[in-house]
Amino acid sequence: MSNPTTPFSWQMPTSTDLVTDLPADFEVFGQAVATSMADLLGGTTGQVLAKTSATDMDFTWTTPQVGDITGVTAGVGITGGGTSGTVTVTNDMATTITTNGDLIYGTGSGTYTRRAIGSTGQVLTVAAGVPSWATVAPSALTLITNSSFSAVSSHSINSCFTSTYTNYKIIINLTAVSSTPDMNFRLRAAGTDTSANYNSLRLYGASGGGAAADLNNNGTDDLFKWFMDNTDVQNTFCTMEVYSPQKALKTSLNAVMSSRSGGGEYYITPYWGMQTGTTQFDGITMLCSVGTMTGSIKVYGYGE
Amino acid sequence: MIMTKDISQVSEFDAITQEHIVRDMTADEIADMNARKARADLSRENEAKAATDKAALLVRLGITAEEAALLLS
Repeated sequence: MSNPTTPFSWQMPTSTDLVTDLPADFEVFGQAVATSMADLLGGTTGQVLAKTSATDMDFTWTTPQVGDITGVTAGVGITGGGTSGTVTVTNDMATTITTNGDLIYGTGSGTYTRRAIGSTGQVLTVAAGVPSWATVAPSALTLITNSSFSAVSSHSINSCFTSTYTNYKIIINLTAVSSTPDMNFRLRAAGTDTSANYNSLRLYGASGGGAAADLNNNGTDDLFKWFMDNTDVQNTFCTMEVYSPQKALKTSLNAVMSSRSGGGEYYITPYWGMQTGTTQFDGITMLCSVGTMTGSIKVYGYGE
Repeated sequence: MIMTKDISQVSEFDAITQEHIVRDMTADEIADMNARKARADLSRENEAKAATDKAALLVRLGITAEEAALLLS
């Protein structure tokens, strides 16, 4: 042992000290030990020893602050926890989600599971007491599209006939025309009008007297004649029903059109038409024979 | 002075994408419109001629339109 001692540097008697000096030497040694350990005295139950400063053997008894975390216990919906060291807790609900679009629903008190996302067009409903995705059957009449046009010579609607519906109802509302046009219609596919193989039969009644019928009056490159007069268009409607335009079959339609001339005469025109090809149509075009038109077209699908 | 376009425009709307395009008519579309106008004009002339002929016939027969309808009923 070194003298003074390592590491406290307490001075001990040396081998050459006189025996008579030993009591005094031990007194020095003992006091040095007592002085070094002085801070360890005192304290009370529950207290812990804390450093007072960076100086060696400089301690203070202190009481731990109330609220210090001594352990973490995972509750419902949480995993992990612990009572020492670095504690990790994980949100179990978050890890239950595994895929984009997942929904979480309860399965009982404090328990849950995931519901994977449905497919396009499906709606969330209830089946067997839990939420689930379901395909909704088309309702009786569903609005597919409503488009407006202003001062144009034709208006085309693309992608309104799809495999979702077999038959369609179209309501056309004209609020203005710039001349006295006949309105014609053509079915279209992939953005292009079909201009052939139309057949038609038109009945024609006028409030001024007289009725007539004509067959394929407009030739074979478009459908119908819906007479318009720019002096009294007001708020004119045509309703049309198109049957199976998306099937590779002949496409037929019925329509009822009304109009009013500048002279105050009313016209009513029931109409039947057919495109005799087998093109699968996805759209329709309304065309003015002269001038421009303003209005809107609504396309509805009939539920099965 | 208000400038107006002498080329008519056409409108195209896509029901899925909601894209709405308004553009000038092409030469083919203008030619098609002129052809449809010619047909419409001819159809109206024929209808007007038929109405005139009918009225003339009723005068020659000395009966009214209602009486003619009664004969045909």
